[in-house]
Amino acid sequence: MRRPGTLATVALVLLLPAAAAAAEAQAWRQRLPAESAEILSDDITEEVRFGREVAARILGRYGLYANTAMTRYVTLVGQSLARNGNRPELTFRFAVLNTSEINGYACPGGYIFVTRGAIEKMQDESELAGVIAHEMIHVNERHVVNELNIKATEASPVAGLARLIGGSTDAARAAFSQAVDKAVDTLFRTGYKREDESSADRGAVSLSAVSGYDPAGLVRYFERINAAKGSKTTEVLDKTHPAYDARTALLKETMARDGIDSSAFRTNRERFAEAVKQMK
Amino acid sequence: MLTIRSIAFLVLGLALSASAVPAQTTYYVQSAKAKVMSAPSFKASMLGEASRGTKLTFLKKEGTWAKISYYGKEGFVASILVSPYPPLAQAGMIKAEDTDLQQGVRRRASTYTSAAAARGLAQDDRQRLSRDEKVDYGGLEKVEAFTVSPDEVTRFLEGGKL
Repeated sequence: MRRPGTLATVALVLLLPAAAAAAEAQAWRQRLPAESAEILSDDITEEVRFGREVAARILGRYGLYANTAMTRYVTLVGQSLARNGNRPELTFRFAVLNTSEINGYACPGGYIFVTRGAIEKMQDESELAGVIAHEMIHVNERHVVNELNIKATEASPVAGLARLIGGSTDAARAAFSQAVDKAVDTLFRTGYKREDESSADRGAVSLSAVSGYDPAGLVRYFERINAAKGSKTTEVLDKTHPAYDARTALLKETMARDGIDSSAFRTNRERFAEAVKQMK
Repeated sequence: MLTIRSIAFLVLGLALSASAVPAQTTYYVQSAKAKVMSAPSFKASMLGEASRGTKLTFLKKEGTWAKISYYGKEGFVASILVSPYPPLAQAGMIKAEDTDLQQGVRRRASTYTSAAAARGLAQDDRQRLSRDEKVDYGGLEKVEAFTVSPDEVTRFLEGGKL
């Protein structure tokens, strides 16, 4: 039988590589954020390039509502929310689409649209903030990119997008166009995954609340447009989004769990009423 | 006296415990400011306020909140305000890409069959989209040209008591 001293030496020899490996893994984890950030910078450039094309398609379908006062107001509400987002690297842009259809759209890279028809259905600033917050969460969580079914790498959630569309070859250009087609199809016809819509609704509650807006604004807005369900103005909305009773239930549940008392947050009804006069 | 078997178990146990230690993930505040709450609720007391770039030790996710360690205290921040990446500077505009975008559109019909990498749309869907969808780069440029200053946003926040 071997002596304990010899066995202890064997144990030490066996343990050292394991400890070294653990230390190396820890060191790698510590390095990861900086390295990922470097990769992300390129990925974001591609995300914005991709989003611009999707935004141009949305504008091509509906047209821009050329009302500077209203654009300024929507942008100020949006930028108030953007200060509390988790994508400070993006320049969020906000605009109103010239259509009576009721909807909001988010494009990768930070292009957010609300329709004129949606604003006409709103009654206060917290409702507008809720709709914009919902769209911003789609951007922040890269839901459109997720719909493309591109396998992400561990380095970055959008590295796959950059790999697919980031080249200058004919194949890369064609892949880029196809990815844009798929994104447009998601927005206008098939809708996001139900879990992404739920995530955007829950996130909208948080983003509204941390920005000071009453998260119940989104509940009130959903209840109001639910009454218009089935009309021409909600055609795209109806086929791309979950039922409103399920959405309002989720919003109320999230608010209750997060300890949100509506009366502690702002609706800014008067300022909204003043702003929408510009649309008349 | 230790036997070979018991030492082998000891070695295995130590090796496993070394690999089973949960990684302490650093999260970074992405928003201009993030309130650190004592519980996962907006009604909870505020422990402090962390500014953009502050490192927090992420402990676990609880609903829409992230449980974190902040200056040795456990607290909660809204998970939409943090991420595992350090905050990045804003991406610049990509004006030079306009030509590429338009070339991409012109090329779509002739080159789509050569791209095997993109997924999702059948040929019928692509033909429908090419027929139905228009693009408006002029409108896009107007959207991108419209800006508000940080001071204007601050005044708007103050005016709305946000």
